[in-house]
Amino acid sequence: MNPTPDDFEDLRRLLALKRHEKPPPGYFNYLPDQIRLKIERNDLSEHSTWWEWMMAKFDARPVLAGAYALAISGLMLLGFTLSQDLQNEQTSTFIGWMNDPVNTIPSARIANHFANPANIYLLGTSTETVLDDPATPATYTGFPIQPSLTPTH
Amino acid sequence: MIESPSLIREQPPAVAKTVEDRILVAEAQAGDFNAFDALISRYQERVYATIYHMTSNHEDANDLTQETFIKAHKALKNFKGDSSFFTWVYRIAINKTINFLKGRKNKIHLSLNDLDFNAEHDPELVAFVSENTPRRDLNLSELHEKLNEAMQKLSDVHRLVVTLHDVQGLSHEEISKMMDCNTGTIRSRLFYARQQLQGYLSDYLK
Repeated sequence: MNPTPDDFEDLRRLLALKRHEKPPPGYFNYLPDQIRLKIERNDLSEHSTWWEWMMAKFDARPVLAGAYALAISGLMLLGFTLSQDLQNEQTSTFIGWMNDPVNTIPSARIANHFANPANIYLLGTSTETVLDDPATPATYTGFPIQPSLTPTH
Repeated sequence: MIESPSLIREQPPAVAKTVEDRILVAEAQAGDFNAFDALISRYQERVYATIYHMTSNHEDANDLTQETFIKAHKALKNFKGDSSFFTWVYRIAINKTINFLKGRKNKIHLSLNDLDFNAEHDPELVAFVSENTPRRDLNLSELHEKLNEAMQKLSDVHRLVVTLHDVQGLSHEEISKMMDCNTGTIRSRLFYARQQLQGYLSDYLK
């Protein structure tokens, strides 16, 4: 004879013992975080590049994608405007300098370069040809007394 | 007979909660992880308990619970709402657990010491056990161990039905939806499983 459902009443009460089996205290507090971490990790590993990962995120949240697009466009526009302003300023300074060469004072280095391009030291020697001014003889004023050419006895 | 508070079955989710579930599911489908977090918090204990009663191992139950919710998150886009989120996520948990147990097969290892078994603090239950078990010398923990050993002797499907119905308190209809079979099959499996358990635990029952 098969037992009726009532015959299992004691068994069912005994099975109620299993409801007292609980995981370690606090386990359910950190389980959602663990799951979230694993989901994010899986997401990253599934999308080999950061670009794919970002695209997947944007697929899920079109509003977020729109906001990002707007922000990036704004930043690009701002950058472009700033770069234009800067370029205009630099060009006007350069042209101003080019237009007024007379009043522009070159630096000492540039002035020296143009004054002596070959960087030659003009030291008076007997073999040296004087090209600058043949009418003016080269004199040396280093000796205060001119040597006498008169023979002495 | 009036059931003591500790022996009252856990109630399945109320209808109002199911409506909230739908909203949370819609938000989670739109990419809101906080909504999915709320769903995890709502069902983690029941999912964990079911898996634990099937595996009798905390580590395995922990891994499988996490895998269940990870898979649920991945498949959330395909969730059409034909069943409740609760039924759907339970189905994932059940399939994962059955597959896991098929792989594990004879490697039964109980790790009940990992768990916070505090039935000793339930005077109603202590009184029930002392009145109903012929083995007076047996303490509650030993009886609990015998019960788990008997549970592990059942086939996976029979253990699942007992767990869902007698431990978790789900109705035949809910279990039939989760296991994708009719209620008649569930009733017959439950009857057979109880018979088996009664036989294994005859020394400890009146």
